[in-house]
Amino acid sequence: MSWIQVVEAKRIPQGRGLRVEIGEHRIALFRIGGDVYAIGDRCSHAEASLAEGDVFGFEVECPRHGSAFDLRTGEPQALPATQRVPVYDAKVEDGLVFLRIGEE
Amino acid sequence: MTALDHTAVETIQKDQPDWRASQIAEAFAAFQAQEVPTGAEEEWRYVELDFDLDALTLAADGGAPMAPGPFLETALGGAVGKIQIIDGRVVDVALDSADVSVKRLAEVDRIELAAPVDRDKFAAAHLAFATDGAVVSVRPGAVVQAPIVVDIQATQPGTITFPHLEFQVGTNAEAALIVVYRSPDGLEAVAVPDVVLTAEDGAQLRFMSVQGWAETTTGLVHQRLHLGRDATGRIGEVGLGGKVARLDLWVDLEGAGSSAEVVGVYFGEDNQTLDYRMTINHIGRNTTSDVFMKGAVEDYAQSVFTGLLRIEKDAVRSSAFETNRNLVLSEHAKAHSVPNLEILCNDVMCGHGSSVGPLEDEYLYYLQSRGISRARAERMLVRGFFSEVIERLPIDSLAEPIEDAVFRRFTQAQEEGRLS
Repeated sequence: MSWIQVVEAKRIPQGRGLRVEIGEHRIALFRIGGDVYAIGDRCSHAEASLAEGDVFGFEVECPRHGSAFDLRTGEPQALPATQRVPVYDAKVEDGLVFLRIGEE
Repeated sequence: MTALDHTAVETIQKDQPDWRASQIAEAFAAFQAQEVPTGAEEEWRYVELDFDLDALTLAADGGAPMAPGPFLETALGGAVGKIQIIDGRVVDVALDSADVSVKRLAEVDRIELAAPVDRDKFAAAHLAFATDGAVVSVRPGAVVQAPIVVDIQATQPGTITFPHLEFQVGTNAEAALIVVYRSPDGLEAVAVPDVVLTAEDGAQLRFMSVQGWAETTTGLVHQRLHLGRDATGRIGEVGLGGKVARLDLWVDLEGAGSSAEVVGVYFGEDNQTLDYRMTINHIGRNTTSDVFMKGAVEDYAQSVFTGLLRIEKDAVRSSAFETNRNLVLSEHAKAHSVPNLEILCNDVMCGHGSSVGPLEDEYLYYLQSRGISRARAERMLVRGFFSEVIERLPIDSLAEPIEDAVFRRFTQAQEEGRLS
């Protein structure tokens, strides 16, 4: 598994996500301070893009039904979602975001 | 620095052709004959203007331009033309289309005004003191999909400025225009823009304005839409900034078969007053109008909506609807909503609806019963409330930054505990 360069970090708005697609993976990127977090973009409850949700602390809130997920673990923090979403390794180097996509 | 007096008028008149000089004299007489509104007049009810008009001066030259903000950056992204009006002076015109032309006020032989000079003191002042402005024309038959963007700024403290804009879409042409009103944080100034939109026969005109003034600036906008036969006009109004941000809008459905849609979204905070006064005149037969305005107020902010649907005697088979919905989110915030109908013809379909209230307890209770926290439930309801109106704005590219700005206002109020 290698690191894949995806996007410049500054393109990810604060408080909001950015959706990227890598192969079959639809990934939502979030920036909090200097760190970038990457989780599966599709809400585990219903078809909705988490990249369009709003970020409160380390949680993203789904814009459609209010499910919330922890950006660090992908665990649901509020109903109606009960299943976690995938989490991807992300790092920032020289202002560029790199992702590592596992078998998940 | 000159006040709005005889000396200023004489200086302006000196450089003008005869027709304009006498027009200025008449407008100045109308200006002197009227008082600054106090709020006692029905047209200005609920509005308190706290500036001293005698202490304001005309801007010398256009001041230093501001950097583009979030709306302007998005708007300019896909624009076909850009016009910058600073302190009433046109400082930049850039066009990418041969179908569009722009004239300065000094190059035209008549000036169109949204409001007659006896409408109020500010309308008269505009005609007397506006020395520059842009008249944008779109060639008949041309289809210009990308919008033209007009960046209107007030930048000098203690001034009153008169940005002037006319947008004429020729017969069977299609075009769109975006106006963004701005001023630097903390600027105490008054701006009195006058905007005239004309869709000739068969034309399709889209227009959006974003009032994004600093919360110390007063913006008093007069705006009118003329529609010719079978013409379509779609207007989007976004109210966010301004100490007092007022829009006087007239829609004149003159041509038979013309139709107009006015969609608006506003969100007031602090002690802002967001003031919408609309008159929709159905003059031609078979004309259609739909007004749909949604807003929220929190803290000590207030909003005003008065909408008059007027159906003239000859406007048979017309249909007219208006809806205004308001969320009042804090104990001291207020929303005033007054829809009116004046129907002089008996073969019409008209309707109006208006509501003012907090987030519905029942919906909040339902969402909470499904395991969603109150704060989250509130956010979902607010998002839902506004998405319906934001989707109907006439220029899609601005939907996202507007939704963000509105939602951010709400979450900020929520985090800072200002909601009741």
